[in-house]
Amino acid sequence: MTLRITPHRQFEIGQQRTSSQSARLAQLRNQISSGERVHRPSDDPYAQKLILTNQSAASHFAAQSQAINDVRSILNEAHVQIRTGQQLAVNARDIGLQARQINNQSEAEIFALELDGILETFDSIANTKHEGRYLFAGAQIESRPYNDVTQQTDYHGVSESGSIRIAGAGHIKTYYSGEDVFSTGAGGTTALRGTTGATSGSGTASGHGNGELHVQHTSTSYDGVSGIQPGAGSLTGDSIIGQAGTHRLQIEDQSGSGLSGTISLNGGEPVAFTNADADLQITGPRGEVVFVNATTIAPGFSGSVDITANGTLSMDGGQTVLPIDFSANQTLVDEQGNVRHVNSQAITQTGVDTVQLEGNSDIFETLRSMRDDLFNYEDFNATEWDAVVSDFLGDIELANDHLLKVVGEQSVDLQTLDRLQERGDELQLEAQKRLGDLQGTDFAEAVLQLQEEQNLTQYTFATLSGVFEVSVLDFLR
Amino acid sequence: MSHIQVGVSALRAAQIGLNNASQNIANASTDGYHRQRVDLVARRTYQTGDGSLTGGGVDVAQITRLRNATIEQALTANISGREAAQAQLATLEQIERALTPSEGSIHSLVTEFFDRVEQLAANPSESVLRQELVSTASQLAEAISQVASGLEKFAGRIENETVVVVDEVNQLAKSIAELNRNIRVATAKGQSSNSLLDRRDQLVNELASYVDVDPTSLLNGSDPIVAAGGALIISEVTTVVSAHSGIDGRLQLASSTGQTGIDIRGGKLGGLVESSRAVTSSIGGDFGEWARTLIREIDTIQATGLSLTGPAAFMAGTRRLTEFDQPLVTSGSMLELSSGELTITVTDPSGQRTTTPIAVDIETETLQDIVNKLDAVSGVSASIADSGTVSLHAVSGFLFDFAGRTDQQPRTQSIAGTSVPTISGTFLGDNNTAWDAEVINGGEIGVSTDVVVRVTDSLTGKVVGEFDFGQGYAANQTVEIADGIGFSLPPGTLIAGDSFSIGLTTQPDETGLLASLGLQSLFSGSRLGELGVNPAVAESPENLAVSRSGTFGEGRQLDRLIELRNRSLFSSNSESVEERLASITALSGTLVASSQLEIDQRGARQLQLENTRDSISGVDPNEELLEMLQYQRAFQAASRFVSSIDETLDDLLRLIQ
Repeated sequence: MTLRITPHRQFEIGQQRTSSQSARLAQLRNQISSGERVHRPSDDPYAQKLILTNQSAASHFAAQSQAINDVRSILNEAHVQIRTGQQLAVNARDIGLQARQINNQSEAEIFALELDGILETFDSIANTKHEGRYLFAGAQIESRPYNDVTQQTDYHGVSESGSIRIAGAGHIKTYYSGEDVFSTGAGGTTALRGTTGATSGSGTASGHGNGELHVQHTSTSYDGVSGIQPGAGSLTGDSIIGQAGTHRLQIEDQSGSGLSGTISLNGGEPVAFTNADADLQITGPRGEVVFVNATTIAPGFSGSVDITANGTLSMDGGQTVLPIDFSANQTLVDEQGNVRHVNSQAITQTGVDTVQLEGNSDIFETLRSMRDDLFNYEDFNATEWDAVVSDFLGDIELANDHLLKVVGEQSVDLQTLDRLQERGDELQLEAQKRLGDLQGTDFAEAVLQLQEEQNLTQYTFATLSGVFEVSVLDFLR
Repeated sequence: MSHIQVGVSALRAAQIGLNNASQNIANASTDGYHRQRVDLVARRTYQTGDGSLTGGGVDVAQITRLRNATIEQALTANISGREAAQAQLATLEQIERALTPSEGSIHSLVTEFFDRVEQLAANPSESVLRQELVSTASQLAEAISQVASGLEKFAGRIENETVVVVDEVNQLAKSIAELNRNIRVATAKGQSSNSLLDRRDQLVNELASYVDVDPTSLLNGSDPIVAAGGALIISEVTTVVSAHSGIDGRLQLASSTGQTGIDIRGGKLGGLVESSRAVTSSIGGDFGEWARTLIREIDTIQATGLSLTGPAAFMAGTRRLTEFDQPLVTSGSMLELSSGELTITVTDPSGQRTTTPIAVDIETETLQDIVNKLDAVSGVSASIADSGTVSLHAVSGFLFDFAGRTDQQPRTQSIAGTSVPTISGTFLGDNNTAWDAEVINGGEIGVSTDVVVRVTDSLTGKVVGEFDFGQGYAANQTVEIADGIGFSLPPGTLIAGDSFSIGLTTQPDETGLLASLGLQSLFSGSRLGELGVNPAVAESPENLAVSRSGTFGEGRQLDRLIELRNRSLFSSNSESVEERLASITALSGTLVASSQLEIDQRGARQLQLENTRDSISGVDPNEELLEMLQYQRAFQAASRFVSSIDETLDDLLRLIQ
């Protein structure tokens, strides 16, 4: 059936057509002039979602890339510093090798000064700042980690490393703990070298590097009825340590009334006394010393007297002390909580022994120790010097290996970062390409559509203007 | 004489025909006008004196409106649907505009916020990066606030418009009822009621543009018109629709018949009701849920971290619970609350930390109950202000935090030996738990062989590991157990059977209470529409709590924020924060596009229906002109006939004369 179409209807249809064509024309012009296909979500909701997702991804990858750059910058700086440190360790080893051959103090002092210079550089490395933050203080990046490593190793950072979590690589260390870089592990067996008679105990020691065991005298007492007493200088002057019988006095009352005679220590040279000697120094065959009060020697006493000499052990120069109990395993804890196990059974005299933790080292302490030994070269005999140099070479080798290990770890991290950045860049590019596809106007298609819409509009106008061209009125007379 | 009557009737019919044609031409462009047709009917024949039958002339039986009721019905229904879609589109376009991505829009700010977090994670203490993050957070808060306020305003505007539309609907119903009366009177008087009927049809269509009209009630012109979901019944009198606030504060529609909760499905009013749903439930609801979830997560991370200044001596809440004397579940919290544990850590003047877990049951406990529990923690006092905000103060020399740091001392211990462990590290596990440690083989630390401690996870019952603290262990050195936690033992002894437990917290606030109260939160504001950045953080970005240990180079809370960016936070559809926002934005576009499509479809249908209607009811001037010619000729013919009869009669009379 053919519908009746009235002119009024034709106009209304035409008006609606022009209205929708104008809207479409405006949309196409907007797309062409802006170069973007989607201006609001309703233009293409799914594309809008994908555009937002890809924009977010591209931005995320860019931020990640920036973060990787920042981390890489920190790691590179730390890497350079540790490589320099490792090179210095090699130089120090060379000095050690040459030091084996020296034969006079002045030559030793030249090497000592060289090591001091290396220590100065190490102080600068250990306290390196990168963009205002310390590289080797662990997560406590605002604190200077070391005061002056040329004098002592006093770490002020924390053991926890600063790290950044990067997707696909987990946590990457950025700020290393100085302890992790410049020391090798913690704990080991204690090795003692010295004259006190102390030997290593059976437990596992903690802490780093070398140290000193201070064996100090606290009291002396004499067995039996000889009547001899510690002299006034005994407390500070006696150098013997031992349970009863470890050390002995031989008293000979030559006057028979206690007025005069001789006293010898451990079979050493007899020393003449009178009953007026209240603080008489007696020296033994190995240089051990006791101060005695001879005023109360029993008249007519001649014979041997067992001595009991007590003392203390300390790992921190006397800050914390432990009484010697002459047992196979005494546990010492210093003020920093480091533990050493000492066999005190054979301790016979006071003194300062060198304590070395085998299996680990603190490079600063190693260098300082060697430097100080070089300054005191004359105090060592050839055998002792050889041992000193050997210990140093062993420790410096350990430190060198450890620095190389850290360098290796950093290299792996840097490589991981490179790979991640490469991947991130690719993904960012991919997201941007996808964005371009989703968001960009297809100009060829848009221009053709625009032309088509313009033509349609023209035709619509043309047909509308002709609606009344033919009318019955034209034929009415 | 009868012949003249026949002629006169023809003349009258032609005149009415001419009048009708002119009326049709005059209203050719009048909206709602229906073409009218003169229906002629031959008068019945009658018998003349000689018994022959002759015609009686012509009568105008009626003037008929040319109208198809089915088409008119469909048109009315289509108008109703199109107007509903139109009204929805207006609101949806406003929502779409608020969510349209652009430079500085909520989308770019969320992305920028997380990008800034990533940058800061590389340098957690960098003040410039912190400042930039805070600045972006502030812009994000403002953007969220603007969208939320916009949605609130849309809802208010819809309610206002609804009230106006209800008035117009009632006015229209009244006018239709009046017309119904007039039509009845005109019909009773035998007058043509076509123009009144046209007017009524127009008003009904106008009514349909506001509310749905039951099409079956339009079939018979004398039946009452039923509209607005049955709330309006219009005969010669009409019921009235009213709008009033319901118990939930939303606008409700009711009828004077007593009917409430009217379901209006068409017209502008129907569109406004749907728009209101879109603003408050669908897109508005989705956006609100998105924003509240994001804020809760970010604020919980911020609240459970440590700033560059470490633990706090004072915290003031930036959010209030409006009904704080009610159980927490109904306390009016903007952010979601759940039952669980809240862990507070107090550091005493000696630096010793004590962690106290506080159980929170949101179904039975009020804010005051929780504040009382916090107040009972040694070293801290807590109070609620009249406004419903919470303040926490540390006793002089004490500090507190909610970072869930692990205590240095075991939570419980039963140790007969002399070596007491010290705990260290930051727990990186997934769930709060406790590890139970038991000495399997005793002996002297670092000296004896095989001093073995077994650690078991109390939550899972699994053995975390067995650790030898005998020969080979350096006393006081920390042994890494698992998940970032280690412990050390000083020189001394452990006896077989000695035991201790370590409390481990990875989620210090399982309840969302800190975020809900705005305690050390990043954002402030008790409503989405008044969101801002916590003044304490805005004034000093060093108060950004990005660390769990308090050290400058550690930013584990930033790691959590980075993880939050990628986490499927919205479990229903496994979407991340940015993906969810993109989906909500796309949904707003989809709704606009589908509304637009519906309008286009209904427009096309309207065109078809109007074409069909006008093919019946429309006026074609050419057609009417031809009708006019036809009646003109009929008039001329009738005139000629009367004249002929007159002449015949004259001739007849002349015969008599």
